[in-house]
Amino acid sequence: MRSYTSNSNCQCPEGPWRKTWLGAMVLTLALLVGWEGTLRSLGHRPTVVDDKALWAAQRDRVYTDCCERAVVLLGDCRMQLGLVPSVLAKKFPGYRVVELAVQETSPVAALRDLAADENFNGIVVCALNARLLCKDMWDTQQPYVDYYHRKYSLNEKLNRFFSILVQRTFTIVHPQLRLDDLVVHLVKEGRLPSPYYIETHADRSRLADYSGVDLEAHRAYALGRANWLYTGRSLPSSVRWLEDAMEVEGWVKAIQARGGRVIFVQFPTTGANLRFDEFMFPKARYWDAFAAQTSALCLHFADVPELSGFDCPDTSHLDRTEAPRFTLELGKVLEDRGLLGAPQCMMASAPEAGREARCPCHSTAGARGKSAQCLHCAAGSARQSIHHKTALERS
Amino acid sequence: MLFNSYTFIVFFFAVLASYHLVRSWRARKVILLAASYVFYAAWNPPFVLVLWISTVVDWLAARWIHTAPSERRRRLLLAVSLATNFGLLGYFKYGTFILDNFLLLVRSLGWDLSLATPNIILPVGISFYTFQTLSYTLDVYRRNAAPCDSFLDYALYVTFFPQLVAGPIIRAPDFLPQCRQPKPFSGKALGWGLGLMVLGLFEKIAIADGMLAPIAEAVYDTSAGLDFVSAWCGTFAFAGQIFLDFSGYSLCAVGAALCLGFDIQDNFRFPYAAVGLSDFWRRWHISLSSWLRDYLYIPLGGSRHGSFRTFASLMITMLLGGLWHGASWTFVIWGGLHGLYLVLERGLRKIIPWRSEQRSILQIPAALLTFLLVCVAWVFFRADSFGKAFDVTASLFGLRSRDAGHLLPPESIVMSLGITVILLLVHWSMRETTIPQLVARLPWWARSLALAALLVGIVGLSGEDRAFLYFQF
Repeated sequence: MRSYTSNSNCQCPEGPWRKTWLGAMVLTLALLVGWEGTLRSLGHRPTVVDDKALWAAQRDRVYTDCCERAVVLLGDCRMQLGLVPSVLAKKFPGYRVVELAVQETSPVAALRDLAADENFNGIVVCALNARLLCKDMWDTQQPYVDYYHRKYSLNEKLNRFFSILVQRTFTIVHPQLRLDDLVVHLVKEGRLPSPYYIETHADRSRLADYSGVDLEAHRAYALGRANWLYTGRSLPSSVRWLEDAMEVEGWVKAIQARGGRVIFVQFPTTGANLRFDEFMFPKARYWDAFAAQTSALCLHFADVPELSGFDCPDTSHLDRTEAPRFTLELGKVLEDRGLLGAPQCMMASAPEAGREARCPCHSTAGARGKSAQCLHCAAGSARQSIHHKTALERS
Repeated sequence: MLFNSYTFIVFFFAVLASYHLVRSWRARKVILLAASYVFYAAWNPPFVLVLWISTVVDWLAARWIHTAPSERRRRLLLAVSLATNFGLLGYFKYGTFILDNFLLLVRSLGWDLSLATPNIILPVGISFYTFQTLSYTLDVYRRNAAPCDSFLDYALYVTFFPQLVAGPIIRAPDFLPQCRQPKPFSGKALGWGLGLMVLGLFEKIAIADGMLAPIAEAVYDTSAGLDFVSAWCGTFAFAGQIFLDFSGYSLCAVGAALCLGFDIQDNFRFPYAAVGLSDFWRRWHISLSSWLRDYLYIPLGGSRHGSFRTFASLMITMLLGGLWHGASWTFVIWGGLHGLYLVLERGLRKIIPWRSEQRSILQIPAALLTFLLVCVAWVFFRADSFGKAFDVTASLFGLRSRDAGHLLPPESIVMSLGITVILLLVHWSMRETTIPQLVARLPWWARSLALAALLVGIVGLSGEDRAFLYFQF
């Protein structure tokens, strides 16, 4: 019978391990610093990797509190490249802008998820077009939603935090600059690759710089992508399409019933892409029909002068020079329609009677004398009176 | 918490520092136990309860079995332990599978029964730690070992974080004695342990995830038609991926344990250099194959009761071994194929007597044939449905072709074949030796160069973050 009294022995190779590790670390650092320097000298800059964990980190921020109302950006790459969250947040303080758009996907699954979330009552600005509303596209963002609900844990949050720190600091960790890819590029082209034209930030916003790229190739790719999305698939008739699309209305109503708002925006496209969109899904039969029936505000760039006239270098996306201007114009359009602007205390502005009493700033301010805790109330007596008036009217 | 994550780096160095800074041996073990629970809870805190149930039930069962006055009581207590462990495993791992198959069966009998499918989450590592606690109770029941007298040591044996979620499945007699005496700080163990972790992470991050996983996914996760070359290259890529992923995890586990002064056995001995399938199973996932041998194959009769009983024992062991990997019939087929290979090999040995360690000119073709047979079986392990498995198998044997060229681009074909050849050469050249023996022959500067190359490779060749494949088992 074994009595658990013996100790096993380490089969470790002998040798000067301290010297070994010191040498390894010096060599590693030298190689990595040299490599980082080489990439930076070619114009490469650190960029964050946009993955499900980064999406989940943003998804966690969609909840309105008494001092900040969430503006959630949904959509595909046109939203990610066309609307700059930091510009919108700066223009409208008191709003927390959350980027949940995912390139080459339909926002329907994310919208459905927000509608199902009883705690969500923010403003949804959703980049949409008729193709993204076709039912075969609906679940393309579902893996992101599933990841958030099933896998996004405290551990994932911490890991994502460290990842962002590293990715924002070092160029060499980006998957598009993998060592083997660099070697293959060097062998094939005789030089290292030029910087990638898209830069991703920790808030998931992306900016595209088309100044140094082969525009014809990009236009061909954008058109090819549209072609892939439209052709060779059984697209629904306009009647069937509208029936399907109106399922979305249930989710719009659920969000709006909680005090939220939903705005659908068709982002600008130009050239062959615009013609292709119009040919496959004529605006009058699709977009306009949907806009006439939904309770959400629908903004098609062709109908809103402020949103038209933007140049899409690749016919599908806005350049980094145009995106901030488009953001401000869209913000102004939403402000004019009363959807953005002077911030309101969101818990107070919820439609249910008695909801105001749950706003910690107001229910306790008098008793504790901490009215300064509410940014909106502290902003000035005029705004405060508007805020209270609004709350009173609604309640 | 994954070894290939930033949180693990922070966690591990925090544990390492606090462990080596504390002088009391008991306090150090408490630190390790607490850290192990944090490590496990980082994934899904409520499932720590399942771990506790398995720990406490087997702790008590073993003690009571040891002091039980009658054989009947001993059997009853063993049954309680088996029922608890297999009950947990059955519910969490096989619950949905059993229900689905039950529904399939009754519907095939014409009864239109529908039941809500439960949304059961599989607690990570449950297959590993239940086997570990079971082996402890079975050892005590068979009077091969006395029960441990320290609950702290025993809980650490079950929960020790380096090997908690994906093995190696350690045996109590190998681990518990190491808890008896304090571990003095050893620079040699720390240096070597960290080196093993770097090698393991390189295997996992740079080669398995960075290079091979995308090729295997391109072949196995597509509905497009497959050609002969792509089917083989995708399967070779998966063979490399699963070895490097799992062996990488095991190296990290062994290395992390060594840094803390604990010695756990490695799980792999260059399995793709195996000559014959029984040799393969002596080299692949050693801790599981030895567990199955000791607690299943031998109790079933082993090779002591004639050919038929031996073959039946082999088949049952391998079928259950396959099912252990996952709740799917494809895993059962994978196990069945290996069982069949082993049966045929045993039959062949009676006609042509040879030993895998015997040097002969036929060893190389025999090793290559073994590798190819293992690859054919991997198809059922990797495919997520029988349809896909049969598609790939048909393409492997040239029974199905594709109209337009190869599915895989030329660079993927070159990469898959290149890495497979390198892997086979490395395994063959290391067949009779071990990594420590190889490293012992290297001067310090060569070790530094190798470590630097591995570290640069980890940074430079990392791709999409992927969990270890064996986490799902």
